Parts: sequence; structure tokens; C-alpha cells
Amino acid sequence: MGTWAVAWHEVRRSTAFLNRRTAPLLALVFVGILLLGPFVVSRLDAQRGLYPVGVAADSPFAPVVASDARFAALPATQADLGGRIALWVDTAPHAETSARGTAALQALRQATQRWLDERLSAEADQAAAFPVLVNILNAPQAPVTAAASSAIPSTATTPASSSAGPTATPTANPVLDAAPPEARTLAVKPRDVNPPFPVRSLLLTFAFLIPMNLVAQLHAGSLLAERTRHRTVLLLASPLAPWQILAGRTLPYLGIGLFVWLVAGVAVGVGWLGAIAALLVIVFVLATSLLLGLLARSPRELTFLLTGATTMLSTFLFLPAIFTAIPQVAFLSPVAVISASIEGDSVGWGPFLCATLPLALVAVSLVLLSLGLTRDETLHGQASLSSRLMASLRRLAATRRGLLVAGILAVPFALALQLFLLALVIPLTLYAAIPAVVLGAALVEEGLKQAAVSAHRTAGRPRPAWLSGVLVGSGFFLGEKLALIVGLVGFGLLPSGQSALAVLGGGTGLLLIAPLALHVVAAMVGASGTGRGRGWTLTALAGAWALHCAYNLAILAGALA
Amino acid sequence: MVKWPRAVARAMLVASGLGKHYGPVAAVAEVTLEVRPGTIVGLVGNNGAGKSTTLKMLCGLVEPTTGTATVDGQATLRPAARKGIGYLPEDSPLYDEQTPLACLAFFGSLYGLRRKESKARAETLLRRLRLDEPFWKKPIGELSKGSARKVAIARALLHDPGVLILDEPASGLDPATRRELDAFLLELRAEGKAILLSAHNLRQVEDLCDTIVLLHQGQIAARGSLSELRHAFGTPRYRLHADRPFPGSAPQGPLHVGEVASPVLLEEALARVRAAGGTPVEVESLPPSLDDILRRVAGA
Amino acid sequence: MSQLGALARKELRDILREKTIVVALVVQLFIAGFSTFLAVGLTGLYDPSSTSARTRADIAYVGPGGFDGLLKDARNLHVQPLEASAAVAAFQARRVDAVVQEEIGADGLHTVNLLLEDGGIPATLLLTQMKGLLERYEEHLRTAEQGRLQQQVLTVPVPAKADAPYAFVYATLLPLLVFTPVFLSGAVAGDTVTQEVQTRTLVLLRSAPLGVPRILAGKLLVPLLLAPAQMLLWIALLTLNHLPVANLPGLIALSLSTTLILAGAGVAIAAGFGRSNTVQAAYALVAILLALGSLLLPANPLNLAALLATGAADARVWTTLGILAALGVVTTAVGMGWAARRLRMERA
Repeated sequence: MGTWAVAWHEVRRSTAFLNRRTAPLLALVFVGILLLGPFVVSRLDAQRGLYPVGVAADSPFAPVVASDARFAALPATQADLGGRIALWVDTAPHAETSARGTAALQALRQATQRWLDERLSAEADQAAAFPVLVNILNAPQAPVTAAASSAIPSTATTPASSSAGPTATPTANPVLDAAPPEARTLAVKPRDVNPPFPVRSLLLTFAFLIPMNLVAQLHAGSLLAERTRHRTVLLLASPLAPWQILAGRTLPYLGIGLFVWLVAGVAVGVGWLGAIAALLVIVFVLATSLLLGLLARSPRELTFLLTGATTMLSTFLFLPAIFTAIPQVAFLSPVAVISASIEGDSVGWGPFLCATLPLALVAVSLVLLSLGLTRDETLHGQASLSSRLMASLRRLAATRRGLLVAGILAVPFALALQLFLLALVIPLTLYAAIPAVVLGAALVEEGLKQAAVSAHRTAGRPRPAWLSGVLVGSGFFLGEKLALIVGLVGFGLLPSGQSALAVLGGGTGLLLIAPLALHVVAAMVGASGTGRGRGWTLTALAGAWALHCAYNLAILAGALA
Repeated sequence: MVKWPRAVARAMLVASGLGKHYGPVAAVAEVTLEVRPGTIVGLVGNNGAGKSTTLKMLCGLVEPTTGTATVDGQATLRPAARKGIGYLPEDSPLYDEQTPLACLAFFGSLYGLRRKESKARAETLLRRLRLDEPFWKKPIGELSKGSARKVAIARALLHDPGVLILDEPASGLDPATRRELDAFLLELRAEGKAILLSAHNLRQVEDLCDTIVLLHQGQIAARGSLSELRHAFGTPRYRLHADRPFPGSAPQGPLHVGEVASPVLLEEALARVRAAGGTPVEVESLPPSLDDILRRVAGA
Repeated sequence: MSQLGALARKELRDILREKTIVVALVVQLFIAGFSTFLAVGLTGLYDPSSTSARTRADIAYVGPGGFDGLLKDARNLHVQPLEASAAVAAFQARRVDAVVQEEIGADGLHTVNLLLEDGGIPATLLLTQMKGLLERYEEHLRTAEQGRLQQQVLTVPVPAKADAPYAFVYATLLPLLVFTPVFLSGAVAGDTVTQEVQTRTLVLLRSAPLGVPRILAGKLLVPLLLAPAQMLLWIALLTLNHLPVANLPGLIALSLSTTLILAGAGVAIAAGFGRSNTVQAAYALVAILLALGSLLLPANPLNLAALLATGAADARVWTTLGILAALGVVTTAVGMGWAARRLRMERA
């Protein structure tokens, strides 16, 4: 009831700026964007003229070079190679020895293949024009574990699992018959062997995210404007619970998001796993704008924070999804799920969970932190961002159960930070990067655990340091194991779901006990310094870090030995 | 509305041991007070004494570090309990672009009032507060400060709460409107509301409050009715009328009049008047004002 | 002039005090790092065409011979000739990772049956490698059958593996790093005006002996310098990673002109919508519109940045840069003039 009143009020307030003067202006901008949209796709070409090429007058490659906008044909001679031009083409191409030359040659190879394909399609003798056709046949193999046990080859006696499905009509070719008909892709030209890069679905998903970013800006801007003049006080003093206030403030924007989701989903025809992933993206965007709208102290700060968050989110969503050929990379992002779903490809539960679960957990954390912020002191104060975040975390981690949950929720953040760290150090050489990651990852984990404990121990009724350590350490361990299972299943490193339990139950007990012990003990060390001033806190963190590093190094040494 | 005989009335608003600490600093410590139906309690103190924080803790806006605040037996931190409280913040953070009627309708729905009921109450309140009808449909941003304050007061009363917590209710009002407000608050008191207010304007507190609570540096320095406080903290002042000038005196009609703050000083002044050949005509003993009491408490 | 400097210093102090500029830098660091990480790091590890990272695979070859020659040349593939049914059995028992069967038709058409596990990383990697080999096999057969074709068969040798994905670095990453600060700077220029309008502190500034245009100029100065400064930082990082960037003055000019355009628009929007919470959204809309409009230019800005950075700039590039610079000056002048008029009215 109250929630709806707040929501309706939010709608009225946020549409107040639409008056006779502004409405036509905004309509114009929108129409402009819609009209220009299709044109953009045709012109959005950053690589035009990237490779300067010199072409000899009689070169058979002249039409190829002309057919691809990436080449800029310059009047030049072979002597210009390595300077003005990257590639010299006469009867054969000659590339300069540089990254640019290699890239240019690669581009010329692609262009030549494409150009030839078009010409050759018109040839009378198609068997000579396209002398190779490929049938791609997918069939199951024996589980990995079985392969390990049947080390002795027994060629004669392996007919057990050769039944390729009841619907297969025998074609007298055992290779063809090994794959069920629905798992055969027949008569493909070598160039088309890979599933084509899903440009269309990625662009559609990107187009869907742009309005969501605008909605996020409106949402966060409205929250901030409300706070700058202390107006939220009256809502806070009303019988509405914090969640009702936040829900009411968010519902209109969620409504816009759902509308876009529904229209886009129906228009594009996305599968239901893709639809869920898209919904998650909407929720995540709004959870972000919710927290930032409650956190920022000025419009400028909001701009920095929000652009920061949306750029990071877009980067995180799109960059991995581009690498469709490498599922370990692609399915870091739910966009890969959406994109595959638009393309009509099936997505397994493993990759789906892998792409969505971490984001979902982070979204939950953002909402919990926002709830913790929804108080008079934190909403209307000018205290620093970090101190207010800490105040919010304090409310989340005040109870024993809260601290355990905080430990679990710290895992996706730790993973994100570690990924970020990895991204930062990977440009270093591998020798520098590995120790940096080993040390940095431990610091990230212990830092997060200690932050949760320190929030807990400065809140209402703190438990003793050792118990706090046990709670947060166990929570983190649980979260990490969950992430591990999702990751293993999602990345296809475990052949089927059955083995997920093996990760927990199987192996020696040590495999399970050791990390639990590490997380708990290190967290206890870290906890021992909290609430006793900065010096003690940092010392304890250093201790926990050292312990964690020692453990990591021991594991690494064991793995290398 | 039930009128409770004062002696039997149960306290509606109770604070016990309320405290708010920011790190090692205590903004408010050990505040215990209660407000019974049909009484007005005034919270008085200098800037930074912790008045606003105490009021915010009482209406559930700020979570106390220690102690509890209850309304009608329910902890005010529970959202549902806040239905029984009408809170008026120091500044009136209303929406400039809304009209008074729209604003009150919105808050009516937040407090679960039915639309008709809400509209009827809003109109009655605005009328009682003497906000002229033409202003009801103007954006609040275009109203004068006094009129906007009236809307804010109406908002606090809209859901007919048993307890009123008013932070500087008279802030921004001209003297005439302030007198109207005082009369209105006394009416509410007669209706059986339990009212807690804070004020800078000590005259208002003197005129209105049944009990006065003095806050100093986050702690209750004194409490009681005005006469009790005077009795406990008042050093009387003396006004001396003489026919000759003496130090600190100013002519008032044919006589010179001056005030002194202690019996010793009075003796000295009398001696001086006599020494100058004058005659003390009259010595008045004045009761200490709340201002004096506050200054004494703060000075101590 | 010193007053202008004082204003600019105040803006810079505000930005630094809020410390949120750090967020902006981290964002770009993230883009730069994350994308390099994915492009260079992860794909390098998994790219089937990079020899060092190829996973070993056992292949059963069924057929008369031909394609197996290319398979054997690949160092990571272990090829054994088998009969069809034996090959399938070996595949099912996981003793080989794939079966490659070659059949040659009467018209010389080679049909290759690729039997692989469904999904899974090794199968995907193997398939990607097979694609390259099959393309080369096709080229080889075509060239051999040139006599049957009218069209001359052109082939380009497979180049050696590059250190970094050149097109990705210069045509995607670098433009991103050039234009992200530009977009932010425009937003910040608008926000400083919004902040003054909302908190009504502009009145205080106006009571100082400065004209409104001067005040606005002071506010614009900081974002105008921030964008090229950030860009230079990223270029320095790229250079450290052995990715040289050509034509710095051109890139600075590009950054400055586009910042002028967006900052002018940002200030005008902030002055127009300053009271409401829609400034950011309106700015984003206009920025998108401008970005789309920029595609009408002879070279779009992304392309412009790529061509400048690779040293491939031609007359088209310099013309476009000139147009952008002129547009920048005009937009800022018009935007500031309009904002100054609006802000003067605010006083009333």
C-alpha cells in the first residue's frame, strides 16, 4: 500500500520536468536516435583505412584491396614498405615485418577468401570451386573417469555404447552413424565451420542496455535530488519500512525496464534462459543505481560513480561475450547467454549459472547495502563514501547469521576484485604476474573478511573475535566452494552434474578441511585486531595475509612438485 | 478522543536510557523521559545540546546506541509503531512542486488513510491552521515560509497521531502566527495529545509546557515544571528603583532603575545610592527566567 | 585572468577533494586492463592458432589420404590411420579425441566428416584449429584444379601469429580510451553548473566581480584539461606495453575538440534543466545523439582515433579533425552564451 503510494509519487515527480518546452525537445532527441539507429550500424566502422597498402598496376589483388574498406590503397612503390605502407601487393602480397604488417596480411587473407567465395559461387564447376565440404558430427564419448580406468586398449570389445540412438537411419558409414541426426551439421564450407560471430544479437543486446543506462541515471538522480534537501526524512519517519521506501522509489524504473524487456524480448524472440539473464541485467543495473543514488553526495560525484559503474558493467558484459568461440571467457557474462538465446543456440545449466550466479549475488549485496544505508544519518550526512558504506555493512553484519551471510556474499566481490587484479597485472610479464596474483588474491580475500568482521565488531552486540572469525571464514569457505562447483560445471571441466558432489564429498578429507581451516584461522587472525584502532587492525590484516600467502605458496609448491 | 485525567494517564511516549554515541563521543547520553496524554513537554538546550538527535531517536529516525524509545508500548524503531507519531522536522522538507492538498494526500496514503478520510482531515487541519483556501492548490514552493510551515504542521497531524514530536515548531514564523500556533498547540493538548517539542524560543516553552527538560551536552541537566526549575536553579534578581543615578542604572521616568543578580550586589548598590545622598525608593525581587536557568546550567 | 585561474583552481580542488576522479581513472584502467587481459592474456592462452598453447589431441584418420598430410604437419596433433568402425569405437572409448574421415567423390569433391564430442572446450578448440586446416586444404585443392575454373585462384599465406591483436588494440581499445574521458568531462562540466544551480551558490560567485561567461569559462577549464591528460596517461601505458602510438598532437587535438563539443552541450543542458534531476539523462541522450551524428562526418571519430594512432592519417582525417575543432569552438561558444543568459535570469 505505502510502497505503491511512493511509487506513484515517484512517477509524478520524475515526469514533472516534461512540460511544453522540454517534451518536444526530448521527443526530437529520441526520434533522432531511432532514425539514426540503423544508419549507425552501417557506418560504425573504426577500421576503415587502417592498413595503408600499395598495389602494383597489374596486381590480381587490386580488386580484393578495393573490396575491403580496411585497406587504403596509396600511390606507392615497394620501397615504401615498412614506412608509408604496411603491405605491398603485386602478384603476391609482401608485408612489412611488424605487428601492423602481420595484421594487414591477416586482413588481406580474409578479404581474399571472401572475395574469391563470391566469384567462385558463379563458377559452373562447383566441385572445383569448393572442393571441400565438411560434415560436423557431434557424439558423446565415454566419461573421463572411465577412460582413465580402461587404459588397456581393447579395440575388439568396445561395442557396448555404440548404439547411436533409435532414430538414426543407417547410412553404411559408421562415422556418420555415430552421431544422432540432430547432432549433424552437413555440407558446410570450411569458412563456415565456426558458428558465425553473433554480431546481430550482440548489437541487439547492446541496444537494450543503452535505455537501461538512461533509466539508471534517472533513478539515481531522483534519489540524490531527494536526499540533497533532506526530504527523505518524512518518508523515514512514516510507518514505511526501509525496503518499502526503496521499493517504491525503484518500481517505476523497474517498470520501464520490464517494459523494454518485454517488448525487446518478444520482438527479438529470445529463449527463456536468455530472458532470465536479461532480467538479471536489468535488476543489476537498478541495484547499482539504487546504491549509488543513496551514496553520492553531489551530482558530479554521482556522474563519476554512475558512469564508472555502467562502463565497468558494460565492459564486463560485452567484452567476454565477444569471444564466443571460447566458452570459458564468453560465459563470464550473461550477455553470452542472451546472445546465444537470440541465436537459438541451447545454453547448458552450467554456463548459465556461471554467467548469472555471481552477478545475482552481487546484486543482492548491493540491495542489502542500500537497505543498510536507508537511515537518516547515512542518507543525509556528508560523511565520506567509505565510512557510510561501512555504516551500512555494520547493519548487515550485526548478527551472527548476518556475518555468515556477509562471508558468503564477499566471494563474488573477491572474485571480481581478483579478476580485476589479474587484468591489471597481466600486461606485466608472466613471471611478475603470477606472484602478484598469488599475493594480491590473498590480500583481497583477507581484506574483505576483515572488513566484514570489523563492521560486525563495531556494531551493536559484537561476538568475540574468534567467533567472528569462525563465522566469516566459514561463510567465505561456503561461498568459495559454491563458486568452484559452478565454475567447474559451467566451464565444462566436470563432464556432468553428477561429479559436482564429488568435489565436496570426494577426494581426501584434507582437501576439504584444509581450505576451511585456512579461511577460519586467517579470518580469526584478522579479526583479532579489529576494534582496537588502525594500527592493530593493519597488523592483524598483515598476519592473516601472511598466513594466507604461506598456504597459497605451499599449495602452489605442491602442485609444481 | 478520550480525555485522560492526568494522574491516571499512562505515558504515551517513553524514553529510557536513550543514548547515541559516535565512536567514543556521546552526542546524547542516558536520556529518560516520558510524555503523558494531555501534556506538553518542552526540550530546551543550546545548539548542539542534542535536542534534534533525541527527538529523532524518539521517532525512530535514528537508531539509539543505548536505551529504547516506545510509543504506546511499542518500540518506535518498528515501522508500524510510527503510525502513532506525528513528527515535524526542524526544516520543512516538503516537495516544492506539490500543492498542499496533493502533499497531504500523498502522506495520507503513506499512513494508510482512505482517500476521502485523508482529504477531509487535510481540509479541516488547513482550516484550523488558518491557511487560506486559495493557497491550497498552489505549489508549496510559491508559498511564504509561514504558510509552508503550516502545511508541514498539518502533515504531522494528518493521521491523527496520539503523540506529537515537534522540532522547533515555531521556526520561521512571525510573532502573530506564532501566537496562533501556541493557541493551536494548547487546543491539541486539551484534546489529549501527548506533545514533545523542542524550542529555541524560550518564551514559547515557558508559556506552553507542563514539564521542561533541560539538555546540556547531551545529558538531562534539569527537569520539572517552570516553578520547580525556578525553585531549584533560580537565583532571584533584584530591581532597584532610586532617585539618584548609580552604576548600571538607567532613567525610567523620574526614577533611576537598575538590576543586580545577587543579594550581595544589592547591598552594595544600596550602599552606593545612600553614599551619594540618594534614597532607595523600591526593591523588587524578580523570578529567574528560563533563559537565566539555562545560562546557569550551561555555565555550571 | 588570475580570477579565472582562481575559479579553475577551486573546481580542481573540489574534484580532487571528492576523490571521485579516482573512480573515473579506475574505470578507464579497468577497460584498458580488462580488455588487454581478455584479448592478450586469455585468448592468447586459448587461441588455437598460437602454437605454444595448443592442446595435444589424438586424431583418427579414415580415408584414402590427402587431408592427413596437413593434419600431420600440425605439431600438436597425433594422427593414426584407422578403419571407420575401429575409429568410431576408439572415439567412443575416448582413446582418440576426434575422427576425421575423408571421402572423395567422382567429381573430385572431398567430403570431410568431423566426429567430435558435443560442446566442451577441447572440442571447440579442436574445431577452430580444424577450420584453419580445412581452409588451407581447400586452397590447396583449388589451386591444383585451377584448370577447371575461370576465375584465377588467389591465395595469401597464413601470417605468423602477431604479438597483440592489432586491430583490437588500435581500432577498439584506443578509441575507447580516448573518448571515455571526453564523455566524462562533458558530464562533469554540466554537473558543476547543476551543483551551483541546485545549491544556489552561483549567487555567491556572481557577487564577486566576474561576469557569468568568465565564471563558466573557469568551470570549463578543468574538464577541458582532464580529458587529454587522461588520454595521455593511457597512451603512456600502451607505449610501456610495446604498443606505440603515433601522432600525439593529432590525438590531443581530437580529444580537445570533442571535449569542447560535449562540454558546451553539457553546460547548456545543465543551465536549462538545472533544477530537475534529469540533467544527466538529458546529457546522455544528447551525447548519444551527437555520437550518432558524428557518423555523418567523412571519418567517424572512432576511425579518426584509430587512423591517427596508427599513423595512417590522410587528408580525410585532417579535414574531419578541422570540422570537429570548428564545431567544438562554436558549440562551446553557443552553449556558454545560452547558459550565461539562463543563469542571469536565475537571479530574478
